[in-house]
Amino acid sequence: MQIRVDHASPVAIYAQVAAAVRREVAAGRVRHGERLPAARDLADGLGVNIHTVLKGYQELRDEGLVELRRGRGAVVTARAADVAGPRQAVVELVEQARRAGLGVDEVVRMVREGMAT
Amino acid sequence: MRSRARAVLVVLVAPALLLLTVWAALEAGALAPDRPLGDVMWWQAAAVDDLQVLLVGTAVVGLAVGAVRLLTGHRSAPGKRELAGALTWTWAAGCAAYVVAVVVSGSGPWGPVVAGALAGVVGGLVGAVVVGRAPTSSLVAHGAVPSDAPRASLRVGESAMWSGWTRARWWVYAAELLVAGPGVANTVLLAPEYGLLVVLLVTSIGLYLVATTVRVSVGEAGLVVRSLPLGVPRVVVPLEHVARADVVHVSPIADFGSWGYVPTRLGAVVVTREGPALQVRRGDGSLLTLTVDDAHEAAALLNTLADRRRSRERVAA
Repeated sequence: MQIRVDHASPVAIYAQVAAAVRREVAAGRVRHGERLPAARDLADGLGVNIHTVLKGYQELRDEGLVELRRGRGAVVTARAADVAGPRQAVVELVEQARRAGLGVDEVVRMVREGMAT
Repeated sequence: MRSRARAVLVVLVAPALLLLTVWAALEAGALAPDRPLGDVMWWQAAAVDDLQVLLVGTAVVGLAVGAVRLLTGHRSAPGKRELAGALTWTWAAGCAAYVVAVVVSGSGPWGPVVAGALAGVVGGLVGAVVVGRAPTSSLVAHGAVPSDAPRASLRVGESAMWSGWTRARWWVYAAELLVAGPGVANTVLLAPEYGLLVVLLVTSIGLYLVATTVRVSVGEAGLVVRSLPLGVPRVVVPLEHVARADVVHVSPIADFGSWGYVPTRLGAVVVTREGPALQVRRGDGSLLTLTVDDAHEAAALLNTLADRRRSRERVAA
């Protein structure tokens, strides 16, 4: 798997790490039961702070995409393959909505209308 | 040359001296059993002579293995010295501890065996550390990475990291489990006197499978190869040492006559399947080859990062 971050981007590094993992999972390049790189290895590899990587991993854990186990690191969950794509789409939707100045209610209404068809 | 002499001293001379000392102690009677050894060792009518033969045999075999590992393969293969030191010290410390335990404790075969095993493990770890590292100045690569080597499209301000495994096909691991379970159970139930041999054989195959399933990553730290499960031993090729990275097609038996870790004259190889492999060439021409999936991505990124690091150095200089 490959993880890229753009230091010039306004998106926080930890969010970029989480997004990169979601894309790899959605593309099937990382599967259920496989381990993400150790936080220290990823931090060294990208040249960023380990806490930045950990924050990204914690976001993925909160979304149910990985389990963080002591000694084993971040392991991809069974749901991840199904959930990763929609989660990443939500991240991008939220970004676009914010840029366009749309509020939460309007975005939720759009999603409801989309899912009703 | 000084560090090479130290390596030979640690790997070959020190273990030989240890075994010689124990042998001499037995010969001079300084170590003398106070009861017949027959019921302490596995075979009947054992005597001090048998222990001395064991010491000499271990010295010859163990040191030969260590000498082969140290003196063959590529000069700068990473981990070579540490492995040679671990091998000879494991054998020597284990054997010496076993012999001393047999003579001194006078208890059954298992006490000295455990003592020997523990001493072997500790000795191996110490040997790997004490042997010292080989000098790395000759490994530095100079000049840009050749233009025909694969490249990744990395923009200014972007960092990237690639991660993969040298995994064998699933049936290799399944085969080990299928053999291990019934094999060990059958032997223990039907022929327990051979139990230890079978357990050792199956365990060592399993350990070898684990040892050759390594995690490979490419990033700012260069190429990092980490073993399961502790993460050590590990091999690092910093970006400064990367002359070029390529994808090559390898086949375990056809190319190397072996599966798994193969120390060739040109460098170390971890080949766990047939197919594309990442091959990294260092500044001194030595190679490191690993059968990882998505090897092309890894090679492209490694070349791009190495190039970047060197152009940064040129600007800074």
